[in-house]
Amino acid sequence: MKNFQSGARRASLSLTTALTMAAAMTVTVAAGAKVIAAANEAIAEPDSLPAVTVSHATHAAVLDTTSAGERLIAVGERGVVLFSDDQGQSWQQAQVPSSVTLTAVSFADDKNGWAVGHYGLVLHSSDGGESWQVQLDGAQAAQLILAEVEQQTAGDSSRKAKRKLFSAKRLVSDGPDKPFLDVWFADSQHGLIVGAYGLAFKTSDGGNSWQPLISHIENPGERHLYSIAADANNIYLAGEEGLLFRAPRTSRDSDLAFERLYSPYSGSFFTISASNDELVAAGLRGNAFVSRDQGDSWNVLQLPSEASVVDSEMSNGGELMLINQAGQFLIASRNEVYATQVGVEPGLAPTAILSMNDGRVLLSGLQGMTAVSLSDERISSN
Amino acid sequence: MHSNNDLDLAPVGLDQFDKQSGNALERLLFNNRLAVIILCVLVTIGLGWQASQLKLNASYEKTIPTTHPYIANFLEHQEDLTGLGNAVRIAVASDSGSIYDAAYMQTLREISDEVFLLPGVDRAGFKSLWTPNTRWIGVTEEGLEGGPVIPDGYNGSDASLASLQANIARSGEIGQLVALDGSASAIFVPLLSTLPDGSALDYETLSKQLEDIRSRYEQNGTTIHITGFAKIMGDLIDGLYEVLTFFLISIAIVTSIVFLYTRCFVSTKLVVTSSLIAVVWQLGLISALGYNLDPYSMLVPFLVFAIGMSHGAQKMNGIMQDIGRGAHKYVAARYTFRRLFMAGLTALLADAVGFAVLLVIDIKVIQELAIAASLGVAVLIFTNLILLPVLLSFTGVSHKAAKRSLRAEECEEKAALWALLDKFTQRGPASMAIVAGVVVAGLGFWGSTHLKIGDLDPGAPELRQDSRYNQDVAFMADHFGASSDVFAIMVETRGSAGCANYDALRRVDALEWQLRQLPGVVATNSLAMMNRRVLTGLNEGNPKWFELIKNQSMLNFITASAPRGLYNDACTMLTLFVYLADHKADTLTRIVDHVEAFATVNNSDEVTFKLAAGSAGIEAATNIVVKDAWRDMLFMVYGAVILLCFITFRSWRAVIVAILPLMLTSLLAEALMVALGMGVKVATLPVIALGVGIGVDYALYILSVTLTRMQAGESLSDAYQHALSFTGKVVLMTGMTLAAGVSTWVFSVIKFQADMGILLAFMFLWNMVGAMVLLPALGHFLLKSKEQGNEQGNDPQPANVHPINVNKTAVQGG
Repeated sequence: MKNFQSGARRASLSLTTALTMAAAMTVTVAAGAKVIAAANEAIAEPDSLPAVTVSHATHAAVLDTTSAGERLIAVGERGVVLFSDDQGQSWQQAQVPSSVTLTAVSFADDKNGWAVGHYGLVLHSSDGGESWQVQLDGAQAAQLILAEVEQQTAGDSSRKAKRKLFSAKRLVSDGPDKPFLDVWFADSQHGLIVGAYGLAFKTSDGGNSWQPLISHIENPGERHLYSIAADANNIYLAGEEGLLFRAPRTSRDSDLAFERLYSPYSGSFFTISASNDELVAAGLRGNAFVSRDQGDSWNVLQLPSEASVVDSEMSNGGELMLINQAGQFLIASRNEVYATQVGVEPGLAPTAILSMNDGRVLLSGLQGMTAVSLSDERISSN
Repeated sequence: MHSNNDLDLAPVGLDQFDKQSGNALERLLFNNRLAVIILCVLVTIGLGWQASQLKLNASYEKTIPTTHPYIANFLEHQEDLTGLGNAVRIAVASDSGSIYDAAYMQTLREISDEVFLLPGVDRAGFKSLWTPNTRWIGVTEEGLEGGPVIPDGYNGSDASLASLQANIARSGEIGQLVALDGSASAIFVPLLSTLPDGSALDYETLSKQLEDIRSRYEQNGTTIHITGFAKIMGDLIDGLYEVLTFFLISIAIVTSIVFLYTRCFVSTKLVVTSSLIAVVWQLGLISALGYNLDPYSMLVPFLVFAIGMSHGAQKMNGIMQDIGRGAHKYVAARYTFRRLFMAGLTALLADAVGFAVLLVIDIKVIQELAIAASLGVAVLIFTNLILLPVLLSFTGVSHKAAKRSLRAEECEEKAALWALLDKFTQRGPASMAIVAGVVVAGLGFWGSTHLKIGDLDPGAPELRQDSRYNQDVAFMADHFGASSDVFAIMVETRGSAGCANYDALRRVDALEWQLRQLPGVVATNSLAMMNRRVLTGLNEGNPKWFELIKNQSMLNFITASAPRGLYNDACTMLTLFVYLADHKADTLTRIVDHVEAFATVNNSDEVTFKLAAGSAGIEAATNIVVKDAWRDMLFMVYGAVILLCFITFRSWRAVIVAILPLMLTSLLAEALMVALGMGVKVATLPVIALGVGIGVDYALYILSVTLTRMQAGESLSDAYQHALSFTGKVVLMTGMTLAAGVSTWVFSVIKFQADMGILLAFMFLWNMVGAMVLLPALGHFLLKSKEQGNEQGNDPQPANVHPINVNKTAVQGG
């Protein structure tokens, strides 16, 4: 995030396709890793089973990465949480009480972080990601929504109220089969989680209690909410069918009033990123849009590939980096209305990118993680 | 027979000979010589016709232990394991380094079209970049879109090549049909097991057609790599034809050894002929019994021929010496028959015991090898112990050669060698030999502790590592990440949701993950993994959905659309595929142990985990059987041989003298296997038994003569000298002919044949050294001449112990 050089802008003018790969990063789980998950244990349901032990970080699917101070945190399949204090050269596995697949992670500071995942799971760490506790699960989340809907519809016998109640009851009876898909915390107390079928909750007490946001977000089709972004003034949500929402940040980020924004696209947004003066939403089939007026109007950001964009990262300087499913890194900057490809990392099935302090980019995917050096290429190509 | 004292057999002319002397068998055979020959000719014609019907075949199922529970599971579910289907993969590599090249794509198209039309190809599943079923799929706002990867209006222009590249990038075929580095693409050729006309797929023809395509298109700027079970079979059958030429070379080598030894053209020809007749009979018999000749039983004709040559040479040697001393050829033949029939019979029975022990090993090729070898040995009794002396009684030997054979006994080199070997009956050299033997045994034992079970080299274990096939396998592994070592776990599911059951799937999912963490596991695939992928696909490809969700209706829906091969048609069985980096025993054991432990606690009413299918799964089961069989077989073969020696010698001391050198050979053979990187496997298993069975011959020949002479009062040294000059030289020749008979195998393209050749040649030669050096040395410490003789008192003489009239008096009398 911090390491975007101005060289990026110059490079974007040349159609560079080559990429300097860092020599394959040795991503080994440090001594902490015990023997492989014991074969002689019966397999319980994943939400009641501790995370599996990963023998090698490149053997686990990683779905999201973030930084907590100097530390890198990665979350992924089967409750695997890895952390690295040396820019991704070595990884240790955190203690996690669940083996549910984790989809997103966010740290408010270098100690407090939250991870969300399937089965409606929310995990919290207060020690910089080394150990995690369950704060919410899918069954509880469904009950919270039912309770809220029952309260709202008490005495209301309209068809709409009945439908809402039916839908909330079904959420409970379905069981915890729905995932949360993104998490964002403003500080160690105030945070927001979104998920499949329009699930959304907020907390004002560091996750001890969660309040449903469903009735505050106009999403009648119950479409998935995929991504959260925030700038100094607003919080943004993006999801299926071009869904875009904006809520002004209040002093305590507690009373969130989400307004549905005009959408330039009818397909799904998988990622949204914000800097102080620029906002980008991207997703299916390489569709990407930029807004300079906090989401009121959008311009097409021309991408050189139709592969879906799965993650984005934007610096306050306005440089934007995208990764698509073809493994192409795409760079755009404030003055460009198109992005250019600077590198390809095939075969990883990319899921997330994270700029590291050493200038390299940590690229995650279903096949693990790798550190990619884009800067040399950009500087040499001007 | 027992009453015959060889010392009484004075060489006489025909008129002085009493035709009614000798035992009943001898009288029967030699007084009806013409009938014997006519009978043999008739049998040879009949069995020769049978032998001409013999088919060459390489059956995979015969090399696996079919009654092992793992294999029984595999055979029970074989129909359901369509994911392991029989297919050939052809990788066409572009010499320019990129497939995005108009000329390359044109060549690929031609190859693809041509392979598509080959008989036996299952055209529905056939896939290449040029077939319409190779599609790219994209998610759109409305759903899915897609098309063939070859763009509409493809014309080889840069634009259409760029479009092709883009389509391939989103086709998911990189690593499947397209090499990871874009330098090659593959043609996937599923095969039918039976052709439309009902005949079985002919691997040999298919393999030849593929080779033809390879040779024609490799001139067009491409390199072609072909892998698959059908190709292995084709190459093996090719190898068998090649081995047939080795047989001719073996005949030539062995014949020259015998001719150099005898310098008699007529009798050499007869010995070779009778040995070949034995081979014809043996092949005819296995054909009549309905067996095929496979790469394993291919060993038997070589062995039968070589053993036949050595026994034949003995007969010839005996007759030659008698004729040299002035006996008539008919008399010489009868005397030789009288002296050597029982010795030969005992030796052949010892061989038969070595072979018969192999019957206990529950692997069909080894059992068939045992049957074929037993038959071959039995046949030798007729051809080389009976027919050959009868024939020689007509032809005799050349007198020059006969005289020479007697002179040769006094020639200097031989005398020097005998003198050298005789030293080992003295205390000093005997001690040295034994100390050296102990040291070598220690080294051998240390080496043998490193012996591994199973095949150790990458690629198809049947073929050599540097074979074209295994180079192609390596190419596939490098460029497509394709592993040829597949371990399949069968997961039986019961209950309403069948194979889509969440409870079953999450256990499969957990096991799959655990296995992926094990060293040696490259990748895995299962319906659980497919569920994760399809759920991701259903959610527009967003990877955050990479989870096995607990939603039975969703799982049912996904299962219905999943490709076949991951579960069976009835949805009662899932297959978990584990792709391995190698098929070393350690890797396989790790998987087997892990799955067994997992199954113990995770098998339930609804789900049962069963081992094992796939090339690596079957190899794991084979390894288990082979490992158990290895020690069992050694105990049995040694038990049998010890018993046989004891019956023959009636002395435990003699048994020790005979057996210890054999044991040293077995130890050293194991150490040699370690040194050469061979594991204990189906191919090497029979070798030790054959080695021991044949090795004990030497001990029988030398020790029996030595013991008889010692009983007659001679010192060990004198008795051993006698044994050397009569049977010793035959042992020398036997060792060399046997080793020569199998050593040509070293050049076989079939790796396990080469391994067998090396080991057998080593064992034949080293057994010979052991019998000639260690035997007298051990004898010095264990055999006491006079006392031994007196102890036995009036015991009947062991049947096969026949002192020979090689003493000076007899020679001079001739």
